[in-house]
Amino acid sequence: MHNSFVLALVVLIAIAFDFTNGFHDTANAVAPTVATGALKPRTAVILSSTFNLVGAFLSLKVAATIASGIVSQTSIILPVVFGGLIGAIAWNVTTWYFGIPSSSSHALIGGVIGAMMAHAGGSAILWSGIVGKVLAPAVAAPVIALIIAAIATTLARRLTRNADSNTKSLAMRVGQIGSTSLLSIAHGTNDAQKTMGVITLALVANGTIGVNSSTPKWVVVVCGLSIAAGTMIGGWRIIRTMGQGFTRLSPTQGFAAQMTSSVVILSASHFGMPLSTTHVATGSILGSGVGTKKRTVRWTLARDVALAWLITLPAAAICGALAFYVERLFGASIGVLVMTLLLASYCTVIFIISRKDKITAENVNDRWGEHGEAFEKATEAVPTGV
Amino acid sequence: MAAPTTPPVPLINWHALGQVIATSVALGIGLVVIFSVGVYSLSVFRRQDATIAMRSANALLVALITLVILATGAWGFYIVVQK
Repeated sequence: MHNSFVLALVVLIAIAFDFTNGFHDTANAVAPTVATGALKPRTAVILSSTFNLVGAFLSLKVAATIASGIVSQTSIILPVVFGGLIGAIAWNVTTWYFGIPSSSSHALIGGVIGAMMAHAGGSAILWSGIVGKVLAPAVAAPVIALIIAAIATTLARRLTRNADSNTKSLAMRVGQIGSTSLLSIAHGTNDAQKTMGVITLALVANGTIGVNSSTPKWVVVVCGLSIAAGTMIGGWRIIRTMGQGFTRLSPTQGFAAQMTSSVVILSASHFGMPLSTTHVATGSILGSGVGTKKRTVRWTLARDVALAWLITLPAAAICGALAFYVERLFGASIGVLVMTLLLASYCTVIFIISRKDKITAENVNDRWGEHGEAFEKATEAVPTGV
Repeated sequence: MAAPTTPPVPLINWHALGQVIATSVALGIGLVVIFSVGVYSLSVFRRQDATIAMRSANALLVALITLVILATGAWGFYIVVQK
């Protein structure tokens, strides 16, 4: 199949996905740093963005796969890739508007599953892969992170209770800056490579490059710049939810949460367990709330976020399937153009609506409830014995 | 002769999950504890009433802990790069 117009739009949409991935996932690395004042909000996102860019260039073992082990790789065609990306962007933008930290990777997988089902039916889906690579890790990641962060916060609090408060605050903030940097590098490496893989796959599927060709340099550069630009914009709505919504973070909590996130994510990466950075970071922040003396956490908000995680896959799948059907209805070139325009319109509408109550670097740390959030008094968690 | 059968692939990679949990618990909690001890030592080091012996011992401990934390950070960086 050779269709340069379709390929160009697929690449454009992939870059757009990378951008949304950047601003959607900024919170994972910077939310506690911003919330505790370890860095000023703008400084934090600039630091994260820089390390995202560095991370994108660090490892270039890019695999030309998408949702590998979840959908049949032999059935993947360009419109399926396109549908998957549309589903993922639509879900990312929607969850961003509501300030919900959800997994961009799961959104992409969901979009591809939907488009693939529309294309080849349920037989092209490796259902066991969904359980092993998506559902089980989605349950395990936040639970592991929550428990470790709760224990770590409790111990850190007790060990430093007699320390001078200025020294403690300064040291914990420095520690946070270090873990933010490491998390950002890991994010740049993992997530930018995903998009590099998607674009490489599209180039192979279109016959532009050979099956065994390496990823073109321009793909690496564009993906790195795109995710860094997305991060630089700063997904302030999600940063606010993670930094102010779940619990009120002290420097000690912030450090324990970020150290936990870094260790869990890097361990998972090392042992080949696909844990979502978003799920780990959310679990760590909740755990740092549980680890405080009063164990104060907004569990209703946590429940709502968990609910969003639950519907990420089906919601993105529906969008992906719709995108595929529209392509089929109008024909490849016009269909892809129509879907691109529809997506652009949807994103514009969401952006305009979001302007009514702008969350920016200036007000991201306002008290929870001041920006129309359903204010729920942080409640005490059931003691965990830690 | 019967054809050799391949063992079924488990739905969830329990082995990898177990390794992630064990490593995360050990390193996640361990590093935070070590760092916290370092913070306390730094605080003692900066006290006006600390004796020279106390200052020296705590300065040594802070330096040691800083090295451990930096080495762990470098290991984390290596994991990211070698992927």
